[in-house]
Amino acid sequence: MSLLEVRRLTAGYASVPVVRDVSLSVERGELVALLGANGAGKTTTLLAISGLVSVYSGEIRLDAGSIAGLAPAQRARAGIQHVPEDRSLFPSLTVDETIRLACGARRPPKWVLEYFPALGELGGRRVAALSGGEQQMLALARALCRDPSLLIVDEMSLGLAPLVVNAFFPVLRRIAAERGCGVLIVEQHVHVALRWVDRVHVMAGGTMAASGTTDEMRPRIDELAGAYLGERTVPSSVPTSADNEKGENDEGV
Amino acid sequence: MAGPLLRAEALCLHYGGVRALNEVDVEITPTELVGVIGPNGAGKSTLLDAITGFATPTSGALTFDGQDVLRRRPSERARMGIARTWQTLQLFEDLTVSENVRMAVPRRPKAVGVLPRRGGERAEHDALARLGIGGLADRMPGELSHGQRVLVGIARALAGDPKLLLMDEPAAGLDGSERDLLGEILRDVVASGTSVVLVDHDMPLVLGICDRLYVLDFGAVIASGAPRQVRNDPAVVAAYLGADDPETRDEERLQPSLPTEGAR
Amino acid sequence: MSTEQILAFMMLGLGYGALIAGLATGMVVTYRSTGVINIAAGATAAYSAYVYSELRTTGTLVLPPSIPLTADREPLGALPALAIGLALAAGLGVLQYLLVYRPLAKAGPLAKIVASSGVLLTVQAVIVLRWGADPVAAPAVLPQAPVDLLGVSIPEDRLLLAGLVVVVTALLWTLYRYTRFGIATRAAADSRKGSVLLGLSTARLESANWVIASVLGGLFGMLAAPTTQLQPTTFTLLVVPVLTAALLGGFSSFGVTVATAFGLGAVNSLIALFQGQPWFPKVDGAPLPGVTELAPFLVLAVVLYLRGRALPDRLTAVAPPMPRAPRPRHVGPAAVVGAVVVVAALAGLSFDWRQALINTMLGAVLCLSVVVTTGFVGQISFAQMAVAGAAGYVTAAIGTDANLPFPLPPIAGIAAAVATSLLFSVPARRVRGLQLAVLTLAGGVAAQRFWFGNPQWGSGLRPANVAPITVFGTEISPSHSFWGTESPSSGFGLVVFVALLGCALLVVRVRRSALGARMLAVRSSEAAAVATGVNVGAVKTAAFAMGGLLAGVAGVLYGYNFAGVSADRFGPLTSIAFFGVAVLGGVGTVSGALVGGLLVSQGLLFHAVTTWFGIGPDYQPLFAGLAVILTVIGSPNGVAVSVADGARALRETWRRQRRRGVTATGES
Repeated sequence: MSLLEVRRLTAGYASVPVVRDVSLSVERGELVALLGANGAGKTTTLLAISGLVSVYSGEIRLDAGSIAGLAPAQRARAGIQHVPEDRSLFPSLTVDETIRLACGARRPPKWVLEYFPALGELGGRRVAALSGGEQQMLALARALCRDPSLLIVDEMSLGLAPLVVNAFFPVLRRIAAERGCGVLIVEQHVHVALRWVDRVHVMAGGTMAASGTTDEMRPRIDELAGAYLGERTVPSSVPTSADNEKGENDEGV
Repeated sequence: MAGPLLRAEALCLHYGGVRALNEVDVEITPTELVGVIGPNGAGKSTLLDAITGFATPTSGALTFDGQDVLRRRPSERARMGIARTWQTLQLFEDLTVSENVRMAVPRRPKAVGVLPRRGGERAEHDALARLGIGGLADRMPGELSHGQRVLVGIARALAGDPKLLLMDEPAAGLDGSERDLLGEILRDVVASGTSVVLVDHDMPLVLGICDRLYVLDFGAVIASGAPRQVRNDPAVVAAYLGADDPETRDEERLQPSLPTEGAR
Repeated sequence: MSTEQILAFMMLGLGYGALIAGLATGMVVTYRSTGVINIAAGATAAYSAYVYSELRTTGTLVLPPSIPLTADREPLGALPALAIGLALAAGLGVLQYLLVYRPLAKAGPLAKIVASSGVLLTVQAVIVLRWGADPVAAPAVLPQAPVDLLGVSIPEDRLLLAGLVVVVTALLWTLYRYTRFGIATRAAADSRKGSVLLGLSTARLESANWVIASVLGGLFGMLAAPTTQLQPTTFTLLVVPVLTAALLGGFSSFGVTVATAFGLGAVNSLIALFQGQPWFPKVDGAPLPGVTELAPFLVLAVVLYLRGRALPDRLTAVAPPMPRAPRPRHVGPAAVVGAVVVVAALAGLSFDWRQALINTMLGAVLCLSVVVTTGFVGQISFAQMAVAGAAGYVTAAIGTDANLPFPLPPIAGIAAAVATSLLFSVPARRVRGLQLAVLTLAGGVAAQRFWFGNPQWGSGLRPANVAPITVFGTEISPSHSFWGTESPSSGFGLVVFVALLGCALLVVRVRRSALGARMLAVRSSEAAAVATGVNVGAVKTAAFAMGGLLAGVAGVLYGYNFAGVSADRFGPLTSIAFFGVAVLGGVGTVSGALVGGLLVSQGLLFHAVTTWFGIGPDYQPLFAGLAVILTVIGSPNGVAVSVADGARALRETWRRQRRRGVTATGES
C-alpha cells in the first residue's frame, strides 16, 4: 500500500484541464521527483494533490483513504504539507512567529533543528528580511514542524544558488529515510535531482511521459535534459500544408 | 537606420533590497528577433517592465529610436512604437476581439470623443487577418481558448504598427502545434519590419526562431549571442541544469553545508 | 475663550473620539482579516446602542421581534443589558461574516463594499422601522459626575471612555502581536494560500475577527451613545470619521488610528466651542454649518492626495471582477416600445401610479450616471447625490433667486453638476478603488452639510424653491402643464421621459463609441490600456464629466418634480442607496439602470407592493438593502443582465430542442 496513490488524475483551472490521466505514487521513506519542461503540468499536479486545483476525474489516496472530499486545510491537517513554488511564507511575521504558528511552541522541535540547525539562530528576524536560502529553509522547516506523512516541495531551487540547493537535497533525503515520510518534489535541475531521488516521474504536455527508478532513468539523462534545453521530449508534428494549418487556426489555436 | 532601435545601458532596478536588474546592457537592432531566457525569477519580466515604463529603473540609460525614453510615461512609449504582451494577457474582457485590437490602432489626433471608424477598421482587420483570427472578430475574449486569446493579445499589440514588440511568455500554456504556429507568426512579424523581444521558457521555440539571445540570471546578463553559441555556454548550462561540474559533484564535501548564504 | 475652555472642550471630545476609535479599530480588524471596508460599522454599532437603550427603559429585547425580558416593562439592569448588547453585537458580526462576506471571499472590492452598503441600508432600515428617525436620549452607562482635571471640570464618563479605549487598544495590540490567534490572523493576511497549506482554518479566524470588530463597535456604541446622540443617520454616518481614522492608520496601525480618532474628537468638540465665538463666520446670524463634516473630508483629501496609495495592496493586486457590460442591443425597438408604453401610461394611469412612474424615470437617470462612472470605468463614487444636489441648488439659485428665464437655470445647474463631478475626478486620477469610495462618501457628507444645508449658499433646513419650467408662457410643472393638470401632470411626465430617453441614448452611444471602449478597457486592465496608448487620466475625467452630466439632469428634474430642493434629499445615505439600487439593476448596462429605476424608493415596484400587498413604503429601504446583499452574492452582474442571460439560455434550449436530430452546432 503506497502512502500516496494518484490514479488517472485529470485536473485544471475553471473547466480547463491542465493535466490529463496522470498516475503516480509515493511510498513511505521515499524521495520522488516530478520532472518535466515548464508548462508540463507538474505544479498543477501538486496543487491537485493538496486541493488547491479542482479535480475533474481520477483518484487521490493518502494512506489508502480517498481525500477527494477534503478541503485544502483539511488535507494539510491529514498530513500533507505542501511547500509551493512561491513558498507562501508570511513576510510580515518573524521566524519565531512562523514556527509558533506551525507547531504551537515558541521553539521548533529538536528533531526539526537537527535538520536545520541554522534555524535556531534566525529567531526574531522578520521573514521578509531573510535571504532566499534562509526563506526556503524556513518554508521547509515550517512544513516539517507539522510532522507530515507526505511532504511536497515545488521548485525548491527556484532563485537559489546551486550551492545552496545542493545543501538541501541531503536533508530531504534524510527526512524521508528517518521520519518515514514520503517526499515528492518538482525540480528544474535534472542532474541534481537524479543524484538524490529514488524514483522519477517525467511529465510532458500535461500527461505522464515516463516513470521509473532513478537507475532506470539515469541512462536517459540526455533525453530528459532535452526537455529543458533542446528538442521536445514528445516531438510534435509540424504541419506542412498551409491550408491544413489555417483550418487548425480558427478552431484550435 | 544605422543605430540600434533600442539600447539599454547599465540598467539597474532595485526594490526592497532585491536587485531585480543589475547593470543590464541590451541592444536591439531594427528587424531582429531577440530571445531573453533565464530561470524563473531571473528578471526577465522586470526587464520588459523597465523598457515599457511600468517599472522605473534605479539607474542606467534607455534610448529608443535615438531618443532618451527613461523618464517617459508608459503611454508615451507606447505611442512611440513600443508594444507589449503579458503572460496574463490582460485582454479587455468587456470588449469584442475587434474592439480589443482597435484600441491599439492610433487615432487621428483631432478625434477626442467621437470615433474615427473608417481608418481604424482597416488596420484592425489587417491585424486579425495576419494572425488568422479574422473569424473571431465579433467574439468576446472570454469565449475563446487560451491559444486564441494569446493570438488576440498579439494582434492587439501589433495593431498600432509598433517598431518593437515585447512579449512575455506567449508560449506558456500552448500545445506543440500552437507553439510552432506562434514561431511562424513571430518570424513573419519580424520579416514585416518589427523587432521582437521574446521572453519565454520554451527552449525549442526560443532556440529555433531567435536571431540572438540574452540569458539572464539573478538580474544580470550572463551570456548573449547566437542560439547555438548560447546553448553550449557553460554558464547557461549551469544556470539551467544546476551545476554539474566536478567540484559540486563531490557529494561528501557538500553534505554538511548549510544554507546560510542566500542568492538573490 | 480661555485656555481652560479650550482644554475643557478638547476633553469633552474624548467621548466622541472614543466612539470613533472603537469603531475604527474594528474597521482595521475586519479589513486586515477579510479585506472588507465595513461601511455598515456605524449602523451596526447604533443597533447595539438602541437595543441597550430599549432594555434599560422597557426591558424589551428587540431582535427585531420584541421579546419582553422583564415583567411589566421594568427596565433591565445595566450589566445584563450591556451583556446582551455585546452578545447581539457578536452575533451580528458572525452573521454578517457567514452570510455576506464569506460567500464573497473571492469577489472584488466593489462587490464587498456594495454588500457592506446593503448591510448598512438593512440595519438602518430596521432601526428606523422600530425606533423612528428622531433622536433618542440614550441612558447613561458610565457615571457622569463632574471631575476636576487640570483645572477644568468634565463629566467622568469621558475620562473613563478614553481610558477604556487605551486599555482596549493595548489589549488588541497584544492580541495581534503575541497570541497564536493574532499571529495566524496576520499570517492569513500575508498569504491566505500559505495558511491554508499549513492547515489553518481561515473561516474560524475570519469569523473570530468579525466578532472582535463587531463587539468593539457595539461596546463603544453603547457606552458613548449618551455623550453624542442616538439617531440613526448621525450614527450611521459616523463611518466617515471612522474611515478617516482607519485610513490614516493605513488600515494596520491601531496606534495611529486611535490617535487620529481622538484628534477628530477634539476638533469636533473645538468646532462646537468656536461656533459660539463672535469671530466664527456667521450665516443669517447662525454659525456656519457643516464645518464639523468638512474636517474629516479635508483631512482625507489632503492625506490621500499626498500619499497616493494609502491602502495596502492586499486585494487590489488581483484584477477585481466587475459586473459585465455587454453591448446594448435592440436599442431602436426598445426606445419605440418604451415611448409608446410610457405615453400610454401617462395618459391612462391614476395620479399615484403616474407619480411612481415619474419617480422611477428620475431614479433611472441617476442610475445611468452610476452606470457610466462605476459600470464603465470602475470608479466607485458615493457622491452621486451630492453632484445631483449641486445641479438642483444651482437651478434654484439661477431660476428663483436670480430669476433668469428657462433654459438658463437647468443649463447652469447641469454645468455645476459636471464641475462638482470633475472635482471628485481630481483625486480619482491618483487614488483608486476603495479609497475613492471613502473619499467620495466623506465628500458627499461635507457637500450636504456645508453647502446644501447652508442657509446662504444652500437652503438651510428648509427647501429652496425651484421655479417651474416656462416655455412660451406655458408652465410645465407637476401641477400645471400643456397636457393634463392634475398633479403630477402627464405633460411633466413626458418631459421627464424625454430627458430619460435622451440620457439613455447618450449612454448607449457612449458605450458603442471609441471612448466607451476605452472606458471599458481602463476598467479591465489599466496596464494594458496604458500600453496600447490610452490616456487613462483623460478617460476617467471624461467618465466623471459624463456621470456628472447625467446626475445633473437627475438633480434638475428632482427640483422641478418637487418644486424645490432640500438638503436631506441629497444626502450620502441616499447616494449609497442609489448606488446599491444601480448595482441591483445592473451597473454595466442601460437596461440595468432602467431596472434600477423600477426599484427606487417610491418607484413603480414599491408602489405596486404598497398598493397590492399593503406593505408600507417604510419597508422599501429594508427590502432594497436585503436585495442589494442578495444580488451581490447571487447575481453579481445585476438583475437586467441575469434576466437577459436567462432569456437567451431559454431561447437556446428551445432552439436546440427543435433542432434535435439535425446537427448539434453552435452559431458564432
